[in-house]
Amino acid sequence: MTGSLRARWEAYWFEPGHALQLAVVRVLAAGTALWVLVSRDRAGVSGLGSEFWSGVSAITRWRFLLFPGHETLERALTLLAAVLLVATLLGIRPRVTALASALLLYHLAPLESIVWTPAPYGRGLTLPTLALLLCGIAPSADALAPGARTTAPSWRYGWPVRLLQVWLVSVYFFSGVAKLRASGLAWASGENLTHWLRLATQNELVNVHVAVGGWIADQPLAASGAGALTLAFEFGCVVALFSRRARPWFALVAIGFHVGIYLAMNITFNSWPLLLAFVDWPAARDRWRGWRGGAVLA
Amino acid sequence: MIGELVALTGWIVLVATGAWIALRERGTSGTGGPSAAVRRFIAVALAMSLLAGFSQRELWPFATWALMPARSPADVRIRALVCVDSADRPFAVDHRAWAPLTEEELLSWTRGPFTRLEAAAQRTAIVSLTERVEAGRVRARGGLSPAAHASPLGRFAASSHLLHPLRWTTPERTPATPCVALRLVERRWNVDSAAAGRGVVIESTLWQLPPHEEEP
Repeated sequence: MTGSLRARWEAYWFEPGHALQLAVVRVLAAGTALWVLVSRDRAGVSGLGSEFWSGVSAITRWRFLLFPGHETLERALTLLAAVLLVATLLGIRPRVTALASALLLYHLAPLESIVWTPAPYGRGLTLPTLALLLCGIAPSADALAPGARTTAPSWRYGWPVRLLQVWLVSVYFFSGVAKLRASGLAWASGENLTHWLRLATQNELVNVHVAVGGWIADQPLAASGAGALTLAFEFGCVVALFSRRARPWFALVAIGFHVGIYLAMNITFNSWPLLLAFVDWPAARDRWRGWRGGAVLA
Repeated sequence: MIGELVALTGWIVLVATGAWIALRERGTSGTGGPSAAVRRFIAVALAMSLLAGFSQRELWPFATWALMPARSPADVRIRALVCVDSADRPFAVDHRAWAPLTEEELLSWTRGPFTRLEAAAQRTAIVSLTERVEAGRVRARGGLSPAAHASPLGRFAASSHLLHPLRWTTPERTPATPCVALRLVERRWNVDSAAAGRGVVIESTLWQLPPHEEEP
């Protein structure tokens, strides 16, 4: 029994993977991180007065090596992170640059919310930081470089992608766990969804899009359905970790899920490009080559 | 405190193990199978993720992913920081003028750490915020972005996790009078009544800094 479980564990984590899949993950992670990094001015938070840092404990400051009054240094580190991310994106010494980027993002990302919480999840750099750490550990065989040699599938390319997929699924799974713990199944009631949607479309601070959310909120059946489907998706997405066929569908549904939330509730999920790690890129490449070959022959 | 130490320890172990793997496996073909370090890395990464998720304790970068877990009531209370001009007239602020803070982080700060500051420190902080917003208003009146360090990506920049309306998009749509004070207001309304077109928003002032002084 133990031997069988161990064998399944080994087969799950160390199933041979393609270098191309890992290279795509590297590009997705670096691209997403770069986009989010240059979109907002985190370094400026370091230059805010000490009053804004009054709630930041000593352990938090040392945990992230973040101290007020170093705006110029933080700007230099942000620039360095951007340069490293471009290098990672282009495949220039990707192992070193990805690892260094992950370490810098670990330092820079909390600046965004540190005046009240050191946990900036939901702001867009959490998953890219973890993904870049994986890219810094995994082999740098660059399957995306022009004229790159095809390498045989190996366990070394497989487990980092699998771990990233686990982290991506955990976003939805633990979001579902949090809902059940805080509200129970009543979270999925039409009344609750209606109230959330109306708040998101009536609150002047966030109501950029109002049509979709307002329409769903006015249809009791649609609101109940949205609540039930949300919980079903958040727990059902675990299937994507074990079913190869479910993976691209999970990516598609998850991206649709975020588009819906964006339009209905004015909430963004900036790490959405990483969901493309669920697409089987080597298979997509082979299909593309086959299609092109067929088209040329025709 | 303990949570932060656990989070930091987990991250350090993960990075150190990862660096060890990267160094040891550099230049090798991996034909020997996964090493104990790789297995340890996976175990630590999974343990930290599961601990954060199931305990719902913050262990960033291992997140709780608690996204809107509570039930939303029909009667809501929302706070907003607005500018006040010299005639004590309030006007809404374009969220970009708060940068580098985002509006939601700023409002969370006013609910937490700000309330624990001494009165003088509160005043200093609000004066600096007022100056920041006023500088943004002046930039917007001049046709520029209200943000002190606007993103080079412009409209393609990633927003924070909440969208915010752009208010000061042209000089004409930007208030002409200077912002001389900030006012924290609380708006209360019933979302169902508002949806039915009979809602009334009740707004009350929680504080204003500096306070408005009536002329003698």
